[in-house]
Amino acid sequence: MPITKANYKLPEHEINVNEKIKKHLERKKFEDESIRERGATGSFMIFREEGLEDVFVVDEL
Amino acid sequence: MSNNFEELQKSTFSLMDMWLKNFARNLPYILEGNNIKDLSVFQNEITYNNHNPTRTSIIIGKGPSVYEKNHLEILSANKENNTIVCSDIMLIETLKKGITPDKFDDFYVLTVDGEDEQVEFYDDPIVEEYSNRIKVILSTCTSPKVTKVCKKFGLNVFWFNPLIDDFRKEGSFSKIMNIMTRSENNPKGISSLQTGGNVASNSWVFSWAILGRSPIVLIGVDFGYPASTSIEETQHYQHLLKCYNNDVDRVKNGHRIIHNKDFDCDVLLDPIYDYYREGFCNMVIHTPKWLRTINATEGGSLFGENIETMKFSEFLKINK
Repeated sequence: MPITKANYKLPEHEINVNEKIKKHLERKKFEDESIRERGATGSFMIFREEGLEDVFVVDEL
Repeated sequence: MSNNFEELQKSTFSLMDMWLKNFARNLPYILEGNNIKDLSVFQNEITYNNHNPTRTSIIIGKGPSVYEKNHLEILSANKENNTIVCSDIMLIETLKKGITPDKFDDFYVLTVDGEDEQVEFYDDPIVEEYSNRIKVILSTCTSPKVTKVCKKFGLNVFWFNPLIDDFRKEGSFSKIMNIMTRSENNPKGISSLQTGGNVASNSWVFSWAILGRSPIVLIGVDFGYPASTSIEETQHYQHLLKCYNNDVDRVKNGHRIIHNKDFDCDVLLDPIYDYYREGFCNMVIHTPKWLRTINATEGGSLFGENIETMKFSEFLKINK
């Protein structure tokens, strides 16, 4: 298989996990999990405001 | 507006912290990037009132009908050079079926969701192969992982801010995002777009409100399941269970069956597709007169005012 940018995996960068980074990683894990757990049921907002029903694109706000 | 709609809208809003986190991380790319407005046909003297559409757009979603009716195969065999607007989840499959920029030179893919998993929809050698001829339309709140893979492949990205809230009110997130995306490239900030809440609806909005295409033909945009589908097997069942604290009755009561009289079939709606359907049907009645929206899924829940229905093969036959 030819090597392309898509299938070439860069070697993993090793992080020297000190206390500060460990805390940071734990916090990141918590944030990611809490977002996933709360799990909104729709994917995104549907813009539906009274008086703006026919607004689909706005170039400047 | 139904109670179901309001409840889901509120619940979806809880993803705001993820969207803003993504937005902040994308900002360096956005400030130097292209604005979706650059693709708009509505510039200079052309407005929604005087526009005369000349080209068809075909929206590709991942609903079950796209497989049941072999719509990708039918499209691949078609010789008309229509605009292709592909939802991100269908990009790799669409290209592999031969629906490529070689055949359709006006080819777009959209991402609106903010989850990191969206990156899988791009990370494939076939996307890289066509990267210089695919235009990628990205929400500024998309995962930075998606942004990075687009950059890695050299895809041509155009940004939009998703319309989230009432920009007339003080402290509006939509307004703040517009202000924060002002740069030398885009002194008025990145344009804001109605997403319709999901990538298929977003593709429809983009097709006519930016590209000015009409008719717009929907395939794989079912927003529902065949009525015979058991609720436990529906796409969002496990997710809804989690959201409703494993209250099975509540989840089941949130489902309903409607009759699509145009295709004479019954369709099962879960609360999420019900929400998308209500949003879409509300949008479609507020569009310009020149726009034709054609549901060619041969099923699904999209029917009603301003939505035509037609078999996909029939549409391709009469629009040669």
